[in-house]
Amino acid sequence: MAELRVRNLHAGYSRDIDILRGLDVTAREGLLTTIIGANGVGKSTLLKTIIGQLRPHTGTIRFGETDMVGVKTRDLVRMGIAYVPQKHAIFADMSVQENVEMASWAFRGDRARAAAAIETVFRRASFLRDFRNKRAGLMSGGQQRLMQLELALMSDPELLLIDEPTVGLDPKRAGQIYAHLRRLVTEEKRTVLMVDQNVISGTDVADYIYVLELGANKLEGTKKTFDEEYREAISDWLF
Amino acid sequence: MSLLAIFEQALNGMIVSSFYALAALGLAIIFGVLRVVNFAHGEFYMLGGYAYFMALSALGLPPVLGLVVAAAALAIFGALVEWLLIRPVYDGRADRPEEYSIMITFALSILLLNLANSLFGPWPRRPEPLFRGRIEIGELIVSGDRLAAAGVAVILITALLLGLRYTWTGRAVRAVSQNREAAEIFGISVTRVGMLAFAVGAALAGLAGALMGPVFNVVPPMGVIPVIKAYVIVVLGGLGSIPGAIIGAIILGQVESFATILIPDPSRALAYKDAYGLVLLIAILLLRPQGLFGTQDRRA
Repeated sequence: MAELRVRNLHAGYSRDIDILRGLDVTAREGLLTTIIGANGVGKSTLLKTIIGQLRPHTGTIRFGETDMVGVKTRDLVRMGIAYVPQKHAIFADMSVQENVEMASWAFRGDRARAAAAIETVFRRASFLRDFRNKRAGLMSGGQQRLMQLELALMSDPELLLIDEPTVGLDPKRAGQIYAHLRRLVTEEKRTVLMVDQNVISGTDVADYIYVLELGANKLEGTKKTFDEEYREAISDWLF
Repeated sequence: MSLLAIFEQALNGMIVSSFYALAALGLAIIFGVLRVVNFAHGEFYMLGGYAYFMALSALGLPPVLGLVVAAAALAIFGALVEWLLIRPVYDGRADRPEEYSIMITFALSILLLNLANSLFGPWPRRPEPLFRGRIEIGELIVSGDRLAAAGVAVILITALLLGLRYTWTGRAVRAVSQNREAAEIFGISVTRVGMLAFAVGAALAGLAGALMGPVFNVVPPMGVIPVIKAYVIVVLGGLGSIPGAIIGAIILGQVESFATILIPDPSRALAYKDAYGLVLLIAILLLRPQGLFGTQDRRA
């Protein structure tokens, strides 16, 4: 049972100002949950608080039975959680091969597992083979994004936290990324919590949707409820 | 200018470059990983010189072991400085981390300089060099102590580069300097890498000081001029860039060496020697503000 539950979360960048004001979010096991909301509503702040870059002022974050308040970012990978930030989390001046090897850092002692994970990346994302010995920074933005996603999967995480996966990508690439995320849930049985500004595609791919407003919950529901009832209600302030 | 004179200056330039590179690499690694400009680097260099001197005179060790002592002492000292003084930059204890890092390393520099003055006295000391005598390469005559020290510096730099490239620890250092957040996501302890980077950086400065001590005397202010050159080199090569620091050191060594013989009056030429690097720095910054190997988005 590995469900991520955030309850009554208050957090922000300075001690006396709350960006998040009593947020409740659950990433249900085996589902793709999308959180949408306008710019500055606290979507990225939520992810940063979950991964331990920010410390909550009050509230609880639990992953299964584990209390995640005070967890360090570097320990996530050992807990079965992978985080894909909005900024490119790659080493631009290292070769693609080195990038892939670095992503096996947490389990580099287990050579068989690391070697298998590295092999899997090059099998799943075959375009990486052409760049194997080239600098990762030479790849296009979309390729870097896809590689980042593959690197995050190397530790075989149960839960994937993703911050705006398609920001700055063209619609075709964005579609590929969303399809990829969908497969991670349906075929590989992973749990995904995604924050997105792309309301249409971001909610289309989701199983469960949260709409945030000014650091608090505004609406939530399954994709079906969202399609039938909410889409109209939020369209006026999202666009 | 005769061909021999050209070779002589080129070789002198290379020898000087290897010391510069050693000191500058320490600065580059510290800046790359921690984004802190270590203003106390020159005093780490000086302490390395004294550690070498003490190891030889007080403990009676041979020069090679003296180098080992200097490196180990400065590595431990660097780790302590990182733990006690630099860590607040990252764990949120310092309200304005950038200003804090400048003030604290600057204060440390002044403190160490004055402490050395009262502990060791202002007199110059001359520890025994690695190697005495002269070496003749054809018609070229080089003093042995310099050449031996440069040889050791080249070996150390090569070992460092190989370590950065092929060991997991070295890769972690490069990973953190390229993308701190990504390194953390993959499970690398950025705190531990930061401490290691500071220890290695301090050890490199200390080794440079220990190698130069026998050539130019060990005195408390011995680090002041070399560290200015190290700053010139890292800014020239691009802050935090490892290849930049090496190329920068080679350029500065050659420029100083050749610019000196271009002025006919030798005493005047030597007096200007330290100015060439700064002129070069201004020229490069005007043409390429991010340095030769720097990227535009790199900011302290």
